Amino acid sequence: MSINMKCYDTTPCIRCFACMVGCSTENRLRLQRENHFGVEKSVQNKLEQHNHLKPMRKEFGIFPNSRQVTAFHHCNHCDNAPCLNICPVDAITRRVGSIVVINQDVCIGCSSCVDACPFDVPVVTNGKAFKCHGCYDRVENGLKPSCANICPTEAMFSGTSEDVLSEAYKRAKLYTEVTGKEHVVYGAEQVNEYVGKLHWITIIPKEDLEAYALDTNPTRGAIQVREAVKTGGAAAAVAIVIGSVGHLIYWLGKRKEKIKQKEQDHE
Amino acid sequence: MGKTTRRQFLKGGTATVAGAVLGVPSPVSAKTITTADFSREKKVGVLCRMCAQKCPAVATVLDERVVRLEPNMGTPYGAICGRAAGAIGALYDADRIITPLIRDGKRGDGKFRKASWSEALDMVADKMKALKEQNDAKSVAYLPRFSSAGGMDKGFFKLYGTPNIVGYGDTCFGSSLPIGYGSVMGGTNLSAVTGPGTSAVSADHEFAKYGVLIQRNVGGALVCHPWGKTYGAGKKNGMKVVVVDPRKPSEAGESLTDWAPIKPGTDVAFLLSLMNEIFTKKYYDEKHLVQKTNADMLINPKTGLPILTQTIKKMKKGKEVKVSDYYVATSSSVGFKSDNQNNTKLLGEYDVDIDGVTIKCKTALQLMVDSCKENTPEWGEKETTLKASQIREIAKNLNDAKPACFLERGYRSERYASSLREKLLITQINAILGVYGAKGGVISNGKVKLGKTMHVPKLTEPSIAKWLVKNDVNKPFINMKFYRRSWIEAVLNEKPYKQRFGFFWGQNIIGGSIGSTKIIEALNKLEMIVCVSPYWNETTMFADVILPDATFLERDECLNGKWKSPLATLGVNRKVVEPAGESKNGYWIVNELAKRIFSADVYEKHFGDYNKEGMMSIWKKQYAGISGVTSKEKQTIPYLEELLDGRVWAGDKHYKIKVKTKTGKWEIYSTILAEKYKELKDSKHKDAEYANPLPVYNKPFFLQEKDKLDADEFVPITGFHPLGTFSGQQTKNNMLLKSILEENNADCIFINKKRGENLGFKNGDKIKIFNPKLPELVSIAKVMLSQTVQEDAMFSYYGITAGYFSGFTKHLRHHKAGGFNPNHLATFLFNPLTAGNPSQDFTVKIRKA
Repeated sequence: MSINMKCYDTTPCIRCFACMVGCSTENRLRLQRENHFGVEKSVQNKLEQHNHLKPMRKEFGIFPNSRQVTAFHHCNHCDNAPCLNICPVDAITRRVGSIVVINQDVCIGCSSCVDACPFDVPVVTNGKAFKCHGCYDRVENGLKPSCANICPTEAMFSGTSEDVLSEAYKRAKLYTEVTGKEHVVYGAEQVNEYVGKLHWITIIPKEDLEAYALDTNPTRGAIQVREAVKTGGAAAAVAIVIGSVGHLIYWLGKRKEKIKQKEQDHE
Repeated sequence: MGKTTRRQFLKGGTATVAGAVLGVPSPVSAKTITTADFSREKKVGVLCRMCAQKCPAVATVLDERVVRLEPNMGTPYGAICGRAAGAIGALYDADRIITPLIRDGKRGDGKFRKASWSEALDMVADKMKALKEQNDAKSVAYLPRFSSAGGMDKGFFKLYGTPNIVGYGDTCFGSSLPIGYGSVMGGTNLSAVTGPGTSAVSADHEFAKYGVLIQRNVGGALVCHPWGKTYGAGKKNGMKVVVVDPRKPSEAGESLTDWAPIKPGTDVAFLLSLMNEIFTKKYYDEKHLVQKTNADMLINPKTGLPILTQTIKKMKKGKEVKVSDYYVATSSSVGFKSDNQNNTKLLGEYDVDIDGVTIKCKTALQLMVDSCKENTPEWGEKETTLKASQIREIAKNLNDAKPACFLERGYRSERYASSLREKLLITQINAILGVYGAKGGVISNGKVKLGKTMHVPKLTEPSIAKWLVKNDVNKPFINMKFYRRSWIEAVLNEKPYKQRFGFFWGQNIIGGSIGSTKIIEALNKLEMIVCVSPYWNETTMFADVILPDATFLERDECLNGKWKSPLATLGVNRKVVEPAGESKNGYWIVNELAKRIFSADVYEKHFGDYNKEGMMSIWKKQYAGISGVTSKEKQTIPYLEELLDGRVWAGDKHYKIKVKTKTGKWEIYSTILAEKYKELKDSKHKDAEYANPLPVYNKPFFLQEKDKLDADEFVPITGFHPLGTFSGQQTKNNMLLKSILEENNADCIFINKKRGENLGFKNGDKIKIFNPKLPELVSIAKVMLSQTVQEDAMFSYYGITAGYFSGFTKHLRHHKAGGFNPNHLATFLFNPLTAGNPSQDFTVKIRKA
């Protein structure tokens, strides 16, 4: 299968939250299908860890020159996924089509992915990490991800990366022409070295990147400390690592290296 | 090569075992789901009823439960919203009413005991029979909304003998909207014109270049099929919009969207100054006005009526029709329009000799220009707080885009005493710009007419509305179908006759219309109240008997041929799963009541087919009588069996607008209103100016009382949330929707930050809200201080929180008591002439709680 990609277009989006409710519902379907937890029971519970898409509303400006923006908080399925890179137990894998998925059966709930993700996406509940899994079950069976399937305005769309990129650039060009404001496709090009390109891209006016919390240099301080550990050696690390959280990351980093080493030994 | 990595080895499927043996965690992918898993899913075609719109959808069943709803892409406008996505939260709501209930306490206390169907139905039927035997069937009123027995319920009540089938639309789309539109595009003043309210026309968003969202934004008042879909397509095509709203709604989109933060209740002033600018800059096409409108009609300024008319015969679609011809002026003379056609004068004053007397007449357009000549954008700025420059810019944008532009015509639009004037000005401006019937403008919706399912003899007794329109000088424009608050008044006054029995099917009159104290007083006067509902609400608390209705996913329905879509569309809702508990579908309920109430032969005549064949008897009659589409379209309509199998049919898009005026023209100068205005003025009616056919300033009640609000005083404006539903309860106790609503503070009230800070409030403070005219009703809500709310406005999402009458929430685990529902606190008032529901036409004061 060619690379899968999702795109969110801020312009036709009417902030109706259909994608978010659809996501939550589809995950309850999965709980019934895989875990025998019937939807009639699951709909009585919030199960926040299964709502993978979140709106984040903020206001800008002073009345009447003011506006509200609804940032769309979700996993970007990074090409160089820091969560996948850091996971000490390899519970995070890249599926066919480049979707980054956490396997909860393996996850030990260590929160490394939470620390590594520059977009604050994974959440840990009851000892397991959760985030958008790109509806890989649907995608691998030729269906659209739930959010794109349900979006009433085609603000969310998905497909092969060639198709999605070409549509996204086409739309950005039109909006730039109509509004006179440059529109960009965030994530289509490498964002920075830490995350690389994204497999969930966003069409947005360039001037709004910050307002919509789309970081042009997404990084994680603590993780860079860990990188220093890896490159600068243990002595440097002792100087840098302060406090138990940092120490845990250091320990996990080492642990993961050991596992990787073992794997190579098997080859 | 040839080496097996451990990763590849583990992918073989022995992951867990291998991991356990090696003693290290396993780098293993999440479980792979195959087509075998998906092939267990069963699909059923439904028409979503999470709100009133019936968007075609497909329900998925897995292991005997409904697990998903998705859009039915069988129509070009296939789309559903988040409410539909959360439909299973309503279906599997653990607090649904699933057994018949009989009141076991005081009305309003909400104490009920479980009853069997036969006990509950006997109780209802016995009372109905007793009233009929007393020759008082008319004292029974049927108040439907979300009825699950379409094609049978209304027939049942007519057959029973009551003319009072009382719709809820006077609180929403049924009053100012059809009159404001129909007085320009045609019809009588007794009923809606090309359809009641919102169903008549659609903006052609897909091809529009510019739109003015006023009185409604498409994303909040979300009708996904087709408007959500077409609006998104329009945005994708570069359509720009301006939202004229005291609060900036994100639901209208956040890009390509300007905001005009108008002072609440001053839409008329904005529209008048917009019209003034259009006239001043001559932003109209003269040829269009001469050909399509009655702008050139010569009016006698003394009477306000056309100076001379004659009835002529014209050919229309191969048929001879009578048309009202009128006097016009040309450069050389005056005469009938039929003689002058396209050579007429749009502006000016002309002498017309009638029986030797010379009367100075003006063209309709001239009168309109004169009437609003003081309402400049600068005047508009004073009234609306919008900048004159912004009003000018909006007028220019409309001119640049015309006819591919539109002014929205509103939704739940009975808000202020001035609502009729708002709708009228919107229609007049759209007509002047020539947007009707144009690509990218506003076009008539299509409709599939279906065969009649019941033939019930006509009743001789007039309904309450029919009596009011003739006898109440304050309600000459009352809607014949939608008059539930006038019904409340009739219960209280016992005029024209006593009401003894209210049969509510899905209607929540306390939650959904203003004047709660009077409504409750009226309910308490009734001898019997029946509510058919799957959900608890304010009104069910007053019921004597509650009959548990099936939800849309649990019932078959009759065919549906009416949507708010430019494409004629045909589809049907099918049962997906069995009704929960003992709940029953509406047809079963009505049939059981019919068995009990009617004589054997009357029952057999009207219900015999249903009793034998079930739903098929209704579907066959409807299908056999299909009409209202072109013969070409008709050929493509699928077999009944295919429709029942979940197929939705849609016809072609026709760029047309239905015109039903006497002159056959778009009457920017409404002759219906001119006649009514003269009549009202002659009788010195206090509300005559509301019917003036010329653009004049009508104010809301609250602005008539005072221009400036006190420091702690606000106008309680509302807007729809795309995950909320009016007074329907499908979204209220629904955890799937609740979690997103809470993320957005949708349960809060929003006021302007500066004003809030001046009053000493901060985000999240609990405040008391009360109407100074009904100070004993105090609501408590959480306040948010916002930069996107105009100073005079207090914004809340409509129907999200329970409000003052929160008693029903004791039956619900996820829906909290409290919050703010402005309907509960509003005074019992009627809009002038239309008898509509001025839902926001009052002020509230706030205090720290």
